[in-house]
Amino acid sequence: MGDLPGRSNAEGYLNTAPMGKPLRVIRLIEGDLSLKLMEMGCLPGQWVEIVHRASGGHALALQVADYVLALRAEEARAVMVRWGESPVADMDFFAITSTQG
Amino acid sequence: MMRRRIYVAGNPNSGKSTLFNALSGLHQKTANFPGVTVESLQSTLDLGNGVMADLVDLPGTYSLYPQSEDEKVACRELIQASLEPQTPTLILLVLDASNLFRSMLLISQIRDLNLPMLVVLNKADRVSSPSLKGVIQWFSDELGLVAVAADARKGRGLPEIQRAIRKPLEAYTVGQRGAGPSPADQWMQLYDSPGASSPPARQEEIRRQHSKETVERYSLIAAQLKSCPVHETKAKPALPNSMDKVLLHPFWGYVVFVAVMSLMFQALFAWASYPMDGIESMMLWAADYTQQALQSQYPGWSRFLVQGLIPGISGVLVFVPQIFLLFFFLVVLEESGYMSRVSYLMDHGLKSIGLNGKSIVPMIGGFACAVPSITATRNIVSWKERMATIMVLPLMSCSARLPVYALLIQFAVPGGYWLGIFSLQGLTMMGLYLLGVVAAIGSALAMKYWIKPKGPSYFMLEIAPYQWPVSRNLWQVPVRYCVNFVQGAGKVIVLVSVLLWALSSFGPRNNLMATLRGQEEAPPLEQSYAGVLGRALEPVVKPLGFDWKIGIALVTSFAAREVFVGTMATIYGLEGDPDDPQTGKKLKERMGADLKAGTHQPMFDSATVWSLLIFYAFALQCMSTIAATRMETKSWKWPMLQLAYLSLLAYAGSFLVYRLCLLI
Repeated sequence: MGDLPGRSNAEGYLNTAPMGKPLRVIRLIEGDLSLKLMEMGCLPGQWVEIVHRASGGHALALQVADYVLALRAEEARAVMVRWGESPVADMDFFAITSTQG
Repeated sequence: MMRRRIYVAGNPNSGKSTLFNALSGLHQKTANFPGVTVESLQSTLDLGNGVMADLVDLPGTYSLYPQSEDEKVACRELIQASLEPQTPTLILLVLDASNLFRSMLLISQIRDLNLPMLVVLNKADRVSSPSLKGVIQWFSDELGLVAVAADARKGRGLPEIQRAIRKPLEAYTVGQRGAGPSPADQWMQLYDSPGASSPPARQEEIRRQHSKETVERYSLIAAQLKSCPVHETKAKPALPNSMDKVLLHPFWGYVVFVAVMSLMFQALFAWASYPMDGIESMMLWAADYTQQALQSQYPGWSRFLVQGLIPGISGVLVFVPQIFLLFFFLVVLEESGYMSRVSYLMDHGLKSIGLNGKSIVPMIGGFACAVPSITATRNIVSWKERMATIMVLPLMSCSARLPVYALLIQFAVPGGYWLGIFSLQGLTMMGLYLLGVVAAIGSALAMKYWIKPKGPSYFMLEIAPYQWPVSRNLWQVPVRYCVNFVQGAGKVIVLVSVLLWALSSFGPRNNLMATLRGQEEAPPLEQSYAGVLGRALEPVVKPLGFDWKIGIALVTSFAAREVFVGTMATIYGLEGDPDDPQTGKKLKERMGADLKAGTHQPMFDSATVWSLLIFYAFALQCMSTIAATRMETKSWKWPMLQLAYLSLLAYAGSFLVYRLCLLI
């Protein structure tokens, strides 16, 4: 599944994801950065939201749990997200559905 | 006497250091951890009943999987503490009560170390109080941990914490182990096997293991948190915020940034000049007083104190107001949450030249003085980007270059105006500042390919909600940096000033003891050791259009760049204050009348002056900067490389400019 424009339900890297929509983290690309992201609570299964994009799209601000994290666009490429679903009540924000590859 | 340790641990931005400052007051010193470049503070507390405690502020970390240098320190200290039961240690775990989920990973790991732990639910003002009580109860029921609510910024909860840390440690001992799979000694092995040199396959394995463990721990945490009373956060979202519409705007954001930086500039140049003048006149008064008291009986001592030691101390203290103000502004920018936004805004541009979004504030501070700015690079996570920032910082024209530029520009540029409003000399001055910036960008680009990356490099920065800075931190932090500076770099400056004084007061042809006792006059500068040195240096600086007199000034400028003006005044046989406009005018006349040896050409013709200006724009003629770089990098390699490349740049630049001027 790629980032198909016009599709309501799509997946893609975080840097290509729409702003202001609930995004679900599907998996993280392995590396030092993904470990850091997971430690900070940005885990697979978590709901996140892009709250700001820097001009030129070089960086973005991501709402994770109760705080905001600034990431470079290339750093956001380490996060695969899905959008178009609305957060379901029982999949509350502590749920972890999949482990990393 | 009983002694115990209290380690203040927690996530970055949890308010850990504010709590540490509140508990320790001003009695802080730098905690030394062997072989690391990270500084952390410690303080001694008297817990009563003959129990003393070392309170240590560990660097902030999100987990016990360290990546940066400061995280490594925190992890090693915590793990070590669990392996050394002979030194009882209490962990004061500070967490942001409005960010509970994220803090739980570190708690779960430290719990597995079986260390006594007191949890501080900081920033309690952001959580409504009924749910806070529930959370404290939950910590006790679910995890068997004692938790205290606090608001370190306002000092709330401090008495409770002070009471709690006086209790015997048994009150906090965790009975049952958590579900974590890694015992302490296994972790210790992981971190003490030198990370950078272990094979990539092993690093990969460690990372995989850590990832797996993180997911497992968070699964457990998620299950446990289900029974935690959902606390209502009163905190406003950090972003988007109505203020950010302006502050992060692609155009207005930069306008605000320039305005804020201009204010800081104004403070560092204009406001700081009053206390700086005060310190200088106080030191002059002290010198006068000393001379009157000692001159007749101990002329040698008098000369040493009045011309060597007191100016040296004065040269250190005179930096203190600027350092205080610079760090005052840095605390305001950092704590208000603005700094993280500026870094976010600027990161892309700075990254393309091999620096980091977080380099911006030290770079701006470099216009005032490189010394405190080098210290201010500490929050740059990437080692490579931090080194590059430190290396190029001295190219930002600092305030010490100002008097040198002002004296020399008069010889090279006529006093007229361009378009009737812009003073040509003023424009030249601005050009020299710009030249420094351009050279800094160029050098940063060169460093980008030259410095090898070490450790992870990413920007990733938490953007905190806006808040008012804590008033205690506004003076406590700058005061601490001033004390650090006076004790660290200050020693070197005093030492070098005394050395330079000795070199210029004694010569190979006169008797040292006789001069000291006042039986013999000090030799004229030309015959002093400094003069001999200047003469010896002449062949080296001749291709740049300099003579032995400028050679001496280049040597003495190492104490501080502005010493150039004073040295010129001494060489051209002037008494009195070189800053005095009357003396300044006379100095200009005498320098203007000097001729190049064996010719009818003025010594300070435009070729020599331009060459000298370029030299001062680039050269690292500052002992304090070298000392600061040494202090921050904990190695001689970096300050020596810095000195070498900036000297080369200065020499090559001056040579080219001199030759070009002669051609024209």
